[in-house]
Amino acid sequence: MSVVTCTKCGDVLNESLFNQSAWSSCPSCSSQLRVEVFPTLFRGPAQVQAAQSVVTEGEAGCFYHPNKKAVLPCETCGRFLCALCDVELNGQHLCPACLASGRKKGTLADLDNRRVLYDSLALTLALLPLLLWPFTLITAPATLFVAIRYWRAPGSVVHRTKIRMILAMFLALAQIVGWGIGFWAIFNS
Amino acid sequence: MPRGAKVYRRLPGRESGLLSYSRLWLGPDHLLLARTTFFSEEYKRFYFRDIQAIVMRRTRRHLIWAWMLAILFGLCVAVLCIGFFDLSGRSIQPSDTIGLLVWGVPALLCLALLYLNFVRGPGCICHVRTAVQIEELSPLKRFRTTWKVIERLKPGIEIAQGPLAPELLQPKPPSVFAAPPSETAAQSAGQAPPSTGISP
Repeated sequence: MSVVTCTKCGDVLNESLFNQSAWSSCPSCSSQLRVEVFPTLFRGPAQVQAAQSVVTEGEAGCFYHPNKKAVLPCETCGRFLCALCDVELNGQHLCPACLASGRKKGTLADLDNRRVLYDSLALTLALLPLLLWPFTLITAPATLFVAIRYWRAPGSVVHRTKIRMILAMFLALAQIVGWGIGFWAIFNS
Repeated sequence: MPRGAKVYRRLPGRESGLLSYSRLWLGPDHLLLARTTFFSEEYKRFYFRDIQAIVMRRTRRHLIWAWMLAILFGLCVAVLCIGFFDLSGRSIQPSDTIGLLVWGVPALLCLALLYLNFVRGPGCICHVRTAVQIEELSPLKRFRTTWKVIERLKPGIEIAQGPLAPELLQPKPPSVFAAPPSETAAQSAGQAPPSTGISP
């Protein structure tokens, strides 16, 4: 069983402090604490399933460890996997290669721990130079480039609409049209 | 899952910094801590099956804020009062109106913030514990908000881990290697432990 420690002094807290309906004091530093514990705390470490050896001739073996017995296929590439190579992610059973590939391509959203927000970048590029408007001559085409280039790029993991991209494109187009009219007026005068 | 479907639901609480902010999101099988800095977002996922405990520690931050705002409010009101006493016996000048605005608006602002501070309730720091980490949930700074979030997490955690048996929360009996309670009590009271009959 794991232990729960006070987040201030690091002292181990006893069970009498768990899931109480009022604040309790840490016996060591007297900090007011409320501790909500869950069943996993009281369970031992998870047992790791060891890969089994091939028992009979002709039985399917693991793609990565041919002498180990295959237990299931990878749901992406179909390769046979032993218990050691099987990686479960959101109910899917994947092989290490598909997992690495999915992470690299960004197709497995649950593995992403960082995303670039191109929509925010495009909107900032469109809005910020309005304070120093001559810069819009450069930033407006740059905004359009970012918006078009990264239109289909994976955005935030949490739900976001394309409104920032659309607004950025609209502003950039308006700035470009404004510059066009300005240049046309200068050349005609 | 259909494209554009909402996987995450926003949870209350937000931490705002100078150039970044953090939010908590409720996923189908995990809690997501998203920290946005400029044009990038970083994520930390806490799967329901892994969460062992959530520890809240009460802080005095809300009291410090309350005192600071009360002092500022008092200062503004004091200046306004001095102005009103000074006003008696002469007609109102345009500078008086400006003075009223300069000190009256901050006073009202302080009062509104003071009210908001009390409505949001006591402050706390919240940590989530798994088998391999203890992570602070920085968006949770107030106890009420934290409790709302825990209430929303509990059903998901219970589905993933099952219900918590009440006997697990009972204090464990003392170990056989620990000193007997009578001996410990006697030592703490300054008395000599009972003789064992064996001379040293």
